[in-house]
Amino acid sequence: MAQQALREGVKGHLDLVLLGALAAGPGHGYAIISSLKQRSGGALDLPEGSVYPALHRLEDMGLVQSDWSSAEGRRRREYRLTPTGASALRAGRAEWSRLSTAIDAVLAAVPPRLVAP
Amino acid sequence: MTGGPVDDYLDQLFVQLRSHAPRDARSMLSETEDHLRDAAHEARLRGLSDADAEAEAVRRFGDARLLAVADRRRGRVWVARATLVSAWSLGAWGAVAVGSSGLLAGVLRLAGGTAGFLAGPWPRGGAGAAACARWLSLSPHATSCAEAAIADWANEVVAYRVAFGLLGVLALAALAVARRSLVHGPRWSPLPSLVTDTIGTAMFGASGAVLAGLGIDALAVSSGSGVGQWLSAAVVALAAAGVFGLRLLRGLRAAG
Repeated sequence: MAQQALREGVKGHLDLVLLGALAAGPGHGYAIISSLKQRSGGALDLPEGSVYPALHRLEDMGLVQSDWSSAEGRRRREYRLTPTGASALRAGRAEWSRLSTAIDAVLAAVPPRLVAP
Repeated sequence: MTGGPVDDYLDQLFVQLRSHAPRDARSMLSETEDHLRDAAHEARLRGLSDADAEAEAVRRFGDARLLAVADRRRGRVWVARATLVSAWSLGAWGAVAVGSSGLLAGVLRLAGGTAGFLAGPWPRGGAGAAACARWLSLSPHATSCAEAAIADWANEVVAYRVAFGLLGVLALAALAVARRSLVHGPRWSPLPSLVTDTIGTAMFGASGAVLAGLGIDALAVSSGSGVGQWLSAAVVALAAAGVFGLRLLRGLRAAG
């Protein structure tokens, strides 16, 4: 139940999460998903296929760029952040920060008896 | 040929992607296969059998139908939005070009061009008394209705075009504001530059050719009366076509 809610929550911010993952450096889809899982301690466990349409959408928007490369006899599509994508990431991060601060402020007022497990 | 869960999944995805652009479909299939092979390999390293490893990779990847739908929707939305932005932008540049031709016509007039160079010819049937009275009131020094009318038309050639050009500048400014601040710029990206440059070259080139043709016609049929209004517009349109054409050539060279 909690995992399902988290998945739904992440869907609305998938673009930002992917831009954040690519900020560390270029990567192909599988590596990006593995990095998301690892960096979130396993919390961001999305249906892995959903990441590809999102990456393609980001590419259409000019936020990421992809190139096919060959390594060890396999062709891989590698994604990288564009300068426009880096700007969008900065803007998205600031927006996220404002949102989370606002929600934290509201939740801080919840009585302790409702917070304790 | 029998395949495991990964091959079965790729077959399903292949069918679901039938309405996609062929290159997009191939790309998606290739990426998906790449991903599933990696995931299955990792599962095998954890001790799963081949079949179980592939089944787990497919389960984690999600429904092929939903994947295809998500990718298709993305393409449509982007194309619609990019087309709108590009049409707005090209339209605005078109208006700016009209304004520039008005400025050019104004400069020609100031440089000694007569009103008859920018407007005319005077219609053979003449004009009504009320219209003549209005034109003469606007040009009190005119010696005839025709002279007053042509002076008024020449002023309109300059004023209306410049006003339209200002609208174009406003439209470009509105687009820049929308892209930068209202809707997070990149979401409002235009169509690829090769597409917009091709349209721009064709649009301004065709306009320039038609306007130059009208100018030549005015020279041949009306003894040059009003030729300036066509030629001022043709010069600007052909210059704009040249700019878009150069961009197009540069883009084509870069694309190899």
